[in-house]
Amino acid sequence: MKSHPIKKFTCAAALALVALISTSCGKVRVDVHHETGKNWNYPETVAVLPFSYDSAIEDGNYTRSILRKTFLNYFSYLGYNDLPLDTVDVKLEPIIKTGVAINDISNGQLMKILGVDAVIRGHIINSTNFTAGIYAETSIEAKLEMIDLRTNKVLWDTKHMELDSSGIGTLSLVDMIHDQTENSNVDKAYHQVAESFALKVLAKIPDPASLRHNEIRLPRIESVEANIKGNNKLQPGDLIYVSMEGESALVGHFDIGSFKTGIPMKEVSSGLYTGSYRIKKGDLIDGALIITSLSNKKGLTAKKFYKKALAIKETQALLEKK
Amino acid sequence: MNANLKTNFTPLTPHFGRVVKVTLVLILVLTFTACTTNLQSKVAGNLNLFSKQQTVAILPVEIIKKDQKETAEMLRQGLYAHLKESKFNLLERYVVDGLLKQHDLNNPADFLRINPMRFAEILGADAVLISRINRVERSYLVVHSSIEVGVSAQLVDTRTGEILWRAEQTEQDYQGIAKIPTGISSAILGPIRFVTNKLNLRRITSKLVNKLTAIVKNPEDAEKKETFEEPLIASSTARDLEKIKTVNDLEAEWAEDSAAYTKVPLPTKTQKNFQEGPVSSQQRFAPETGEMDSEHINWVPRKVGLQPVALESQVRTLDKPPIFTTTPANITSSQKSTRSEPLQYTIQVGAYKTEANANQMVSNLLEKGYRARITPDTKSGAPLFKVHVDKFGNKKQALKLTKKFATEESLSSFVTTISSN
Repeated sequence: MKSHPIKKFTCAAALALVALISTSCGKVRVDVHHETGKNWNYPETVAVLPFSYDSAIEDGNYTRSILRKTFLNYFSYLGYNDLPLDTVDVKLEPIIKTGVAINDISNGQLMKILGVDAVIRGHIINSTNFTAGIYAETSIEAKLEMIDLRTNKVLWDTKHMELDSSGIGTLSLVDMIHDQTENSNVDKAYHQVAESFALKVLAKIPDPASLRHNEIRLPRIESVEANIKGNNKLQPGDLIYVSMEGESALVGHFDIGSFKTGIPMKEVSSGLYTGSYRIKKGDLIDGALIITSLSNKKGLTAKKFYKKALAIKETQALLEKK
Repeated sequence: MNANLKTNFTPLTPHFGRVVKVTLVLILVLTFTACTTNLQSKVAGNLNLFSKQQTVAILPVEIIKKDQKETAEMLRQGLYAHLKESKFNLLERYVVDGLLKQHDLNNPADFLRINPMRFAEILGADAVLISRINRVERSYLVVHSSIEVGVSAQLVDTRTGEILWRAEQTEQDYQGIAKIPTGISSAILGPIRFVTNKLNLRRITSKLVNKLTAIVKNPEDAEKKETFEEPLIASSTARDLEKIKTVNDLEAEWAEDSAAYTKVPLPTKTQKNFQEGPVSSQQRFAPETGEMDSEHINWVPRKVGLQPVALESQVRTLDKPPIFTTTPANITSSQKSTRSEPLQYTIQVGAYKTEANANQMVSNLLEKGYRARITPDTKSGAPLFKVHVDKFGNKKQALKLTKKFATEESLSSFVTTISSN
């Protein structure tokens, strides 16, 4: 029995569609369990905890660190203050050393140890990477949730599988070869999938950034004074003395251009900070401005220039010019 | 049957073998060149000095067309994610955006025109990353489609204006006949799917950012050709630093000049007379040190033998009223010391080599309601234009004004005397 040409075409179209669907990445669903309007009491500080994984997964230990790191890198774009991963690990090390699994640490303990308002927990359900001639795939399937440690409530959660595959459904021969080659680089392949995973999830996570725009206040610096003068050339042994008046009980330092940075300033009386630097023989300072900085506990820093003089060191070249 | 097979089998001719080889090479070449990159990137040696102690602010990305907004957001997000692994600290995006908003800096197209030093004071950052989307082009021609993204970026040290990194990159990918479609439907569907799938734009942008930021993450790996030969300073900073330098030089000169007024000259005959002169004369030249910060003045002995300047050339009047023409300062020390008319006081806020600068200062002060004027003088034979404000019958009133200048205008000034004409 001869098949009808229309039927043939329908079959081919259906196959093409299936191929297209099977090779495209899935959509992500994030369940948000809190209000996101103006009255949202958003957590300011967040820590991404080490992710756990099913022991049956061959690359589990590897993919959990890739996903955690990549997720944080993209998560930092949102309006939360995130704790660096190293800091999180160092703070958790003592309790983990006692044999307590990360998922068994209570929210109260986490808040106390990490000093953050919320944490993100992650669990790798599955991860795959294989390249087999005409078919290649890399995938990461994971569950993520963000918990408000102040209320013990889950703010959002998601379970998602990100798949990057290439096979007979790939539309061109060049792409097929290219995908196979790329997929054989396991590290790169997992990074790409982790990146897609993170981007898709992050697109659905509420971002408090716009609610925080008006709350930002840099520390206040009122005035800066220094003992350098307009046309003076500095010489080895000369002392640059800088004073700054501003908000009290903060951390101050000054820079000489980008030549010498982070010179500490001491708060000698409430709101008055002073610091000094003695010019050394090999110092190369030419036309640098003095910049004072004042930082608060939130990590915000204010800067103010001392513009009454440029720091210029007397050099042999300058002496010869004279 | 075997014999038939043998006879039907035609061995590969050398020509056919060559065609296969060429095809394979072509496919391989296409495989590795399908996605093309054009990257030009250079870093400054000083970028190596950056550590976690330094903070970088990634500013909102400038766009040329409205439809580039999404790509701009992708680029910024990618820059944040990739540079999170750099040696420096990143200022949170919400902090950057919030502070820019508070200062009404909402248009990224203006960022390059702003002196980076201003960003230091607004954001508290040690460097700013300014970037722009130069192009986002999607093209479709039935059996061929392509996406091209072009960006430029530069990282500027806000403390010095030095450009730490500058890059321009174009990333392009395509789908079509050249990639050898796996079937007729692929040849038709491929280009459509490629150009309409948002993920492809994201993938290209992600690749672009990955390559773009590689050198910033590891500046020590930069080759010689990827390093600036000499420090490049942002033009807006260079301009402002030059202004600061000029003002500083003039202020230093002014300090010298004021010292000349206040220091008792060394013993020449005339000077001796001056020192031994009447109290009123001595008062006229008595040091006003009480009102000056000694740390900011270069105390130098007054030079003797100032050249007198012709009287008629000394009276300077500006277009804008009410500038007071003043008594020319062409009287010698000896002449001054012998005068006995009642003292009048004024305050001096500046002394300039060029009249234009003095005029500018006077104009600014007039706009603020001060009764400013230029008093010409000479210094080592060269003209000097002093800016004086107001006249007072007693010194106390003059001192009050110097305090006002210090607090309200952040300008140093000192009291001096004038003759009452």
